[in-house]
Amino acid sequence: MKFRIKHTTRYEYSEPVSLCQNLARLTPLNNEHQVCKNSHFEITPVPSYLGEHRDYFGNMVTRFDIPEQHQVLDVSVISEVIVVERPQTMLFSFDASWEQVRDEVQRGLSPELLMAREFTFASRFIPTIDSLKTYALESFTANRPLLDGTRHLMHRIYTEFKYDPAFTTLSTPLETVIEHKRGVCQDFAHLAIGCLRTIGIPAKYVSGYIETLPPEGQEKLEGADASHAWFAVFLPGSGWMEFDPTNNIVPGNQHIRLATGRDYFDVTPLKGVLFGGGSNVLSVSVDVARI
Amino acid sequence: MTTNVTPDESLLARHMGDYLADTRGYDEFWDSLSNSPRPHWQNLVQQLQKLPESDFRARQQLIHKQLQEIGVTYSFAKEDDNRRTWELDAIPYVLDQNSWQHLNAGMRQRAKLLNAVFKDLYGPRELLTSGIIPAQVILNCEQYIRPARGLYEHIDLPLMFYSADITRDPDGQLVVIRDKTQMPTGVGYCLENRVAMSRVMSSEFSSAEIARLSGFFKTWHGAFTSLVPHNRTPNIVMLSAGATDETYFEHAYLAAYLGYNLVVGADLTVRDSKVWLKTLDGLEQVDVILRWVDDQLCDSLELQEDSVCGVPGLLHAARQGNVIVINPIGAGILESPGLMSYLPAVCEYLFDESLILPQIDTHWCGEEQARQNTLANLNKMVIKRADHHAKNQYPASMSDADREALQQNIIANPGDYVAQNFLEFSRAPAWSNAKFQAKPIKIRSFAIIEQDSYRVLPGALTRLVYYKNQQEPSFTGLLKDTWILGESEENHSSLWQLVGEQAAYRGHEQITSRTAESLFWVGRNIERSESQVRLVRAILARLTEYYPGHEEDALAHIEQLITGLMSHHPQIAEALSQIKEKGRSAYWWMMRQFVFGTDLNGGLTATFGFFLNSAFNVRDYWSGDTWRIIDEINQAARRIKYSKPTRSVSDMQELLNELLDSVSAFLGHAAESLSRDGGWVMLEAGRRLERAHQIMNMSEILLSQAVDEEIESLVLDSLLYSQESLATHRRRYRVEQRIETVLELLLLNADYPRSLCYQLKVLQQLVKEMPKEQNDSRLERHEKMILAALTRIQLSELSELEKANELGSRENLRALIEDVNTDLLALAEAISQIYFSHTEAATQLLQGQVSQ
Repeated sequence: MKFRIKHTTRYEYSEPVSLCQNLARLTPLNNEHQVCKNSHFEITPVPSYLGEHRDYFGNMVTRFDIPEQHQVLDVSVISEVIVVERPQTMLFSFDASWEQVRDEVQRGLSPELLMAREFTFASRFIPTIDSLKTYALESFTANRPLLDGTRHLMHRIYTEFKYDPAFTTLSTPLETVIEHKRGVCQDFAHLAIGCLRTIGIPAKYVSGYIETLPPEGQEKLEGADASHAWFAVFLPGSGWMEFDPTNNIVPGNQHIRLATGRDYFDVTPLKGVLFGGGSNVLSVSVDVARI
Repeated sequence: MTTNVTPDESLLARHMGDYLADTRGYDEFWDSLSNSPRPHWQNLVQQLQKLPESDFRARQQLIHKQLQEIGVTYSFAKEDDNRRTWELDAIPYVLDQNSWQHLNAGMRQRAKLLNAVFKDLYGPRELLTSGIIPAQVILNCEQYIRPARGLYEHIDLPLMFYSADITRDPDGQLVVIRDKTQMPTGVGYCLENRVAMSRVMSSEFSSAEIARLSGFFKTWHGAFTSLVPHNRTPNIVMLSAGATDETYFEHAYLAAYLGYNLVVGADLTVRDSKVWLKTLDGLEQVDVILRWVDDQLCDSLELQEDSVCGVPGLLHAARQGNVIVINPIGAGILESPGLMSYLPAVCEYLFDESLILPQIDTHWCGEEQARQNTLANLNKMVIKRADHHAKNQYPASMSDADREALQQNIIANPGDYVAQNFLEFSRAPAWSNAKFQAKPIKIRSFAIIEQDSYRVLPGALTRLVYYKNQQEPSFTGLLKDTWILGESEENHSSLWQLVGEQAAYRGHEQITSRTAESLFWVGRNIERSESQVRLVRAILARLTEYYPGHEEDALAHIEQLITGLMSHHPQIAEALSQIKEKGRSAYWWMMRQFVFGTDLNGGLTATFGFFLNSAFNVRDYWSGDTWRIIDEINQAARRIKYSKPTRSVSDMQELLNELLDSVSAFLGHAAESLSRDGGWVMLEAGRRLERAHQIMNMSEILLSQAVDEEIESLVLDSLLYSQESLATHRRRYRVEQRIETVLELLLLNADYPRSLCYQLKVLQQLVKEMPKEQNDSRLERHEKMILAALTRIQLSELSELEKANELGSRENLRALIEDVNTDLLALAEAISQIYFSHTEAATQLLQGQVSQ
């Protein structure tokens, strides 16, 4: 499946901004799930500096500065990505219990296992909370295969938590999400990751897009798609397996990956430091089109 | 004068009993077996034996005074802040040659070891994949700065500095207790202690072979300059968190010594992934940053977002190789106690050597055996966090409940804790509370990169500690110079020689925009302080006189003067307007409030506070002499601040006179001794602007409304007195003051140094000296404004200005003052916009939530 994605972020400020310096993680990944054919930024005002580097987690980071006075910042990224559906056989062939995986990761010394180990510790948005472990252990009964338990966990989050964009913001703590059983994709991903980590299983956050299809007979509206987030769990020897708890599915050929990290903080699509600006109004539009 | 005295008068003989009373820890000084001082202390003992105690006390006083003058004991910010003041003990800590050799070899080995660990942890991480260090120790530690991984692989020795805290264990063995790897905190104090000691204890110095420190700083300087290609002068800056940092003195001292620009984050900006210094002449590229800011705080874009003391974009500039940050960002991981527990094993693994200097027994509780041992011996342990920086915990001095809670935490999350065996510090002689006593000490040793290895400072910062309770040490604020015996032949170059060499390196003095701004405010505030003191004196004089027959007019006049005084302090002016029963007693109360009051937000002490704060912000700009004068102003202002407001008028006058003397000393010094650089131009511009405003303010208040002849001479007299112009007026005009003579002298006279016209002429000259924005002959924005103001004054006619309308109002005078005021405000605004750094707070931009 080939997609063309246009992701536009627009900030309108109440006061002029004299300088802004930014970090963007908006270039789609190249990995076993997808090939990013091309991707480019269109920024106004035109940055005086634009550079790229790979971050610690392997994501492409775009660093740009705008040292001229402006009151509107427009950042558009246009990318073409080919998504390959991974064979689901993996789901059946990996039958290790969660305890086996936990112990293997704990003991492991290979660079691959070390990198996975990274995702077993608490992180900025995912602290160690006792209630996470309690919640996790309902799915991870003794000797249950890891994948089976993870699917069960995903299903429970899908059915027990209400999708409610009005309830949470970026700074809503995970405790509140658990307490009220409400949130958005990012909260559900954090929740699942937190559960897995409390029992010693490496889990990481994936940011990206999902293709939405219009109701039958209607034309798809431009910009109606959105950023999305889900999680991945580590299977020693097989790599990372993704799960989308917001939709209760294993991502197939409709998910496009931007970046992965320990939590949202590691993969924030666009952040920056600015001087001036007063208050701002943010608008984001995402368009995922099959080509 | 030192004379030989009989031993029973001597310091040691009198106090040895006190000294021997304390028996905790290893005794550095006294050998109880031979019942005599250890051999390496004997020389010093002989010297001290010759001193009568009074002489010794005098030296201790002298040291105190020296430190005060250079600002070490400086603390004039808020009284309630606990900015530490440091004192230097006249008794040094003496280290023998053998111990030094051992320390030297041990420090070098450890510096190389930590450098290798640093390179590995931010590179291939073999230490983790080989299992030498458990992954959790590093990966779950906040000090591991992930964005810095991969930055240092091409550099052999990225760790340019290393320092360690060391003491002797009860067996006399030197032991490392802590590694300090982010910045060499304390090295400036070593330098300054040595300078003070070598002045006060010069005879002891010359009789002992004491290793010199200058070579170390030469190496330092060479190492920094060699980081940059040889074909140009490197631009090296020292990044400080600013005057609120408790070690700011040290930053300022070292920056001045090494000839580096002392900057704060707002002085720097990142453009095109390079770092630039904002100076009066525009942006200048920075090559090397010696940072005194923690790893996490260095860059609010990639690291801790709420940091205000770093430079947004710094890490990326370093990543691109456009700037070198020292010590490199990420070096904080080397201070982690979890890592420390594995250093002996790492040393074996990497170097096939054991540690030359042993380290304090340190165990990461994530290991089963360490956890059990820790839990079994909790009261003998000091507990540290492995995952983030936190205060040490001392189970032996905890309540049972707290200890139990700690125990449970260790059991639940053992990997978050590190245990160290409690270690008794060694003790050394100190002069403390007028006694010769044994005090626990720790020494901080410093190493700097030298070619492919490290060079260790042949000295150290020795600090006295005390035990807050059985185990928990705290710092006393007392420092010692550290003497290493038997090494003085190495080099005799002066500590100060470097400064001269360094000055030659720098083609021209860079004045940062922030320095320019601070100096501008130094100028404004010193002038404002002076004019307020003068006016207060004038008012006090009026209040002590009576004017039979004109009492009402006189009181109205006094109120005018007070209004003039309070024009920068609207709250006080407000209070004044609300006083119902006006009269002398109310005015006395007002004046006492203004002079002594601390509750009113903006009396005399507040004005001086503004001056002192701006002066302290550019501490490194001032020479020793200038600083001494500033400190005198500080002392005089403090005497007023801490006086009782009930003091008599003559006392009050006396205090004000002292203050005025110190202000005059500063102004005289500024005129005579400051170099005429861009900073001086700003200071002077600030002064002249302020003085112009003061003249106009008082003239408007006192002269814009015509008064009866009887009272007029009183008013004119006050005005001249407050402008320190009475004598001049008498000499020039040889008549009783009249409105036209006063207007001529104070406003229009072009040659009189206290006139408005004169201030404007000087300002015009100063503005010309400021760096140009454009390269042609057109007038700059600020040049136009000063020209407008000066022209207005020069075109004014005396006869027009003194004219009053039927209501007695001098409309022409009012209009002139208003216009010139407007011009000058615009001038100040233009200077600020063109030359000062605009330190608006940066804000964070974070994209809102993901919404699918």
